Amino acid sequence: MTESTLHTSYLQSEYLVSGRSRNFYKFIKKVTSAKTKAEEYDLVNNELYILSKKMGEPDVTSTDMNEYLIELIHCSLLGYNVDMGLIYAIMTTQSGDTPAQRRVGYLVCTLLLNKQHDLGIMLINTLQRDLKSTNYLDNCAALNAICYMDHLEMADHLLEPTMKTMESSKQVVRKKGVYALYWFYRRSPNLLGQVEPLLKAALLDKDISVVFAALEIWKAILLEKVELYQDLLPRFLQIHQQILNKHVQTGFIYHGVLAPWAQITCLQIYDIYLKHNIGSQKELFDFVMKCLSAVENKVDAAYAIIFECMKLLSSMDTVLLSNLICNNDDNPFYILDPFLKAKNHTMNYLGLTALTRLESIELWHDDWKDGFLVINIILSCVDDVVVISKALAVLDICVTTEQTLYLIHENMMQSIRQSTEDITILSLSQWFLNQMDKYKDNMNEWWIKTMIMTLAITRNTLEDDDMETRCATMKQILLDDMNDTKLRTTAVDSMCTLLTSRSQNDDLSPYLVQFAFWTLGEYAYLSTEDTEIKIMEQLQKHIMLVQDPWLQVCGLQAVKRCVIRSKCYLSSLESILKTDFLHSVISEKREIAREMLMLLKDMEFVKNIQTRPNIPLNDKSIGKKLSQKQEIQSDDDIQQEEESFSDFQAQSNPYRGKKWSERTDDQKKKKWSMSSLYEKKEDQSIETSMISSLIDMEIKDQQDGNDTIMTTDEFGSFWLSCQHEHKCQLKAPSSSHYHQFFQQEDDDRTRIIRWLQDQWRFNVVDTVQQECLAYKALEQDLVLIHLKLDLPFIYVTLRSLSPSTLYQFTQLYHL
Amino acid sequence: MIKSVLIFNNHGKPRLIKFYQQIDIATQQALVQEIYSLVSKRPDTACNFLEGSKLLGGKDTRVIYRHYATLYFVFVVDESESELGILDLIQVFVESLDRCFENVCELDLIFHFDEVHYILSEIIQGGMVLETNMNEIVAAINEVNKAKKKSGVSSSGSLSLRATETLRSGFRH
Repeated sequence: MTESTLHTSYLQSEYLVSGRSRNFYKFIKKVTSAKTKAEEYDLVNNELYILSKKMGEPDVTSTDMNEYLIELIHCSLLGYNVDMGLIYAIMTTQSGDTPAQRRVGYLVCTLLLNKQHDLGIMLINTLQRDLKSTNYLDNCAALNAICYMDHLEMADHLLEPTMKTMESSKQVVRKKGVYALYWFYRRSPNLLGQVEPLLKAALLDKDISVVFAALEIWKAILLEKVELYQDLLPRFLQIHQQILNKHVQTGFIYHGVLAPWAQITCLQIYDIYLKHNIGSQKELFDFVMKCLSAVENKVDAAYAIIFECMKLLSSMDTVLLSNLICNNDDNPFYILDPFLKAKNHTMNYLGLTALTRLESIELWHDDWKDGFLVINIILSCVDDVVVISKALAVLDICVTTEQTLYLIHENMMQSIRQSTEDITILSLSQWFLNQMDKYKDNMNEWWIKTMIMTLAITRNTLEDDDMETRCATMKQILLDDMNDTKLRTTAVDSMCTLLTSRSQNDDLSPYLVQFAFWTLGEYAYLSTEDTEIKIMEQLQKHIMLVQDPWLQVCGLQAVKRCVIRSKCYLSSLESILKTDFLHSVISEKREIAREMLMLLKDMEFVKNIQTRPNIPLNDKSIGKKLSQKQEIQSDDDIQQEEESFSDFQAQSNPYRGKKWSERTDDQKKKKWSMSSLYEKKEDQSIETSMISSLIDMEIKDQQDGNDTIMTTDEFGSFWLSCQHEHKCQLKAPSSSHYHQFFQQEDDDRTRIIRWLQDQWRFNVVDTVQQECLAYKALEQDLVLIHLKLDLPFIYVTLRSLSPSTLYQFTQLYHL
Repeated sequence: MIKSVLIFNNHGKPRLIKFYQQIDIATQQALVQEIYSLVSKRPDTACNFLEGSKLLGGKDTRVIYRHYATLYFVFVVDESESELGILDLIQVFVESLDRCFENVCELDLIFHFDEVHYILSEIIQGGMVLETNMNEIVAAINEVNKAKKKSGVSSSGSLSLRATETLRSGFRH
């Protein structure tokens, strides 16, 4: 800052008024514009050094000393130690020229003197002198200072003069005198007897300022000694009535409200009496109603009075209160309604605070009882921690059943989502989760779904232990549920939605992700919204999203279970395994990758085998493949591979994955004959053991491919030749039944045909729209099957040459 | 009871510190910084009340504040005070400052902080509310200013000499 700018600024009014010196302003200006703490430190210490020198000089004028003292105050404001100025301050109080200057001295003393300071004693004389002075300004300064002094000796010398000031003609002196007397009592409670009559007299003072001042003091006294002053209650009511009757000066009307602070103090005094069961509750109630009706303006001061009235009413006995309210026209508590419905956070806060005191919910307005209004407040004040904590306290009172919790849960979750402060998210989610815990026993789908969603939106603010415990509890619930699959289905659907919505960012707790993976791995087939392939797709996406290798392994294990169950997998899976997992440094990742790649190879293998129904493939390459398989195995993998292999065997069925439409042209052309049928030693027992079927295939490798595939024409002609017919009707099972067995690309018709084929072991000739032609060899005879699908019914027509075959067929398959 | 009155600007620089309890300077500064950090984070739509932290005295202490342009006016009170009442008291304080300084601004508080102290002491004494009538408050301040102007700049003799005189005379009583 240049000198010239300093110059022009001196002409501003703030300089001209006080008449302080240029040095003073220079100093203040320098200090306030100091850029760093170090710079300020240097400046201040320098100045303090200079000041101490200057103040120690013998010829300092009173005005100058004043200025130095004020500079000292400023330095102490900034946090610097200015104790060295204390003695000069005391000197100033004693011999400052004007009351104003002496006041500065007092100010410094009150700011700097503390209990133990010996120099305080020196002030006693000055105070005495000032208390007795005829200049009322001196009286005021001294009385003011007394309230900050804490020396025991003071009482002896100063109590008397202080009491004398209560006789002063000036109300400002008497007012301050009241406070000074109170402070004497505070320091030495045994003085109460002496000061009390004067304080009582103050309540009857002719000047309303003094009366109001006394009210404050009495409130503080009554907090400790209310039983002694039961007789004062009528006086307080009287003063309050005086206010309500508008017997106050206009200066006490604040924005249209009559002496609000005095009214508030009165109401607080009544509360103290009430809590000690002094005074008639009915009388107080009536008075409060009068008070409420007088307060109509919509200003803060009016609201303050209303709030105090509410507090007072809440302290009353609830039975009495309900009676009194019934006799009245309306419930005074309804006045809180605009508080709660206001947009202003402060009003909401006050409304909620009043409600927390009103625990008997019958007195609440109907609008408040279900907690919906409160949750809306939470939603609109979502980042105001203060309001949130009060709102949760209110919800604790009114949310007592599952229905009310259900009512508010949507908005609660919305609030958690919208909140940006961790502390708010945590308090809201913990409250909500604790409430949900109460209804764990009435386990239903809504509970599971909401729990999962809530844990997801907490965005990692919950403690790890808490999250882990909750996930483990839910896992147990899903495992334990024996009644039906509704809970699991809901869990699966929720997890799908969750993972889909989080496909861009990884902000879920690892425990939740692990739980999600486990749920989908176990129960993905129950999903009502997505197919297993889609779920696998989501899982794979999420596996690539998470960073934690352990989570990735969990995810892959889930995918593995889905693959085993559904017998299919996404093409991208293999590449993922090979690129990211197979060569990872982490052994678990490598292991799972190897397992899965083995699994996929097995599935390919089985697929290749099972392209012909019932008849082993004339494919010498199978043998090769088997030996190839054996070559690949390394010693330490054999155990593992055999395990996975037998695992796979147990679940496989040679009739799955069949594509009866896959025939070579040669085979189609080959004429089908009855003889070929009898020659063929059909081994219907190729069922569950893959090894045995392979062996069979090897044996039959020698035989020539006796492909006895019937053509449609042949079927037709045979059909016409058969005399005996049997018709029946079946009901197709629901589509969920198929999930365990068949591939995803099949449509309903294919699934049903495969399902029947699984049971009856027939060979399909042809399928046309909703009809299917098939045949089955049975006991040297043939049964021709015609299926007409009219979902959910299947119309079966059987024909055969002999009736006994038909009969046998029907008996065999319970038709 | 009111525990302290603080005024600081948007950057946390204190303009007035008054504690109604005995607290040493280092703790005072720490408290100011703590309150500043609590209060400055809150948007203007948030409610004007905060519950005090451990340093401030725990759950019973409330921090009630108002934000005017570049300044925060903060009253730290205990539970016996009415929150809205204090909020209005802050308004009375600011309006009194406005009347005494004529369109008060931050600079006035910087250069005339002793005046600010006196105005405050007309409203709150010893942690209790003394006067809420703005007319009375401003009148009291004007009286002192009038007396100041009357006595003028007359200063005779050195302060320390006169001080020893008074001391001696005092002890003679």
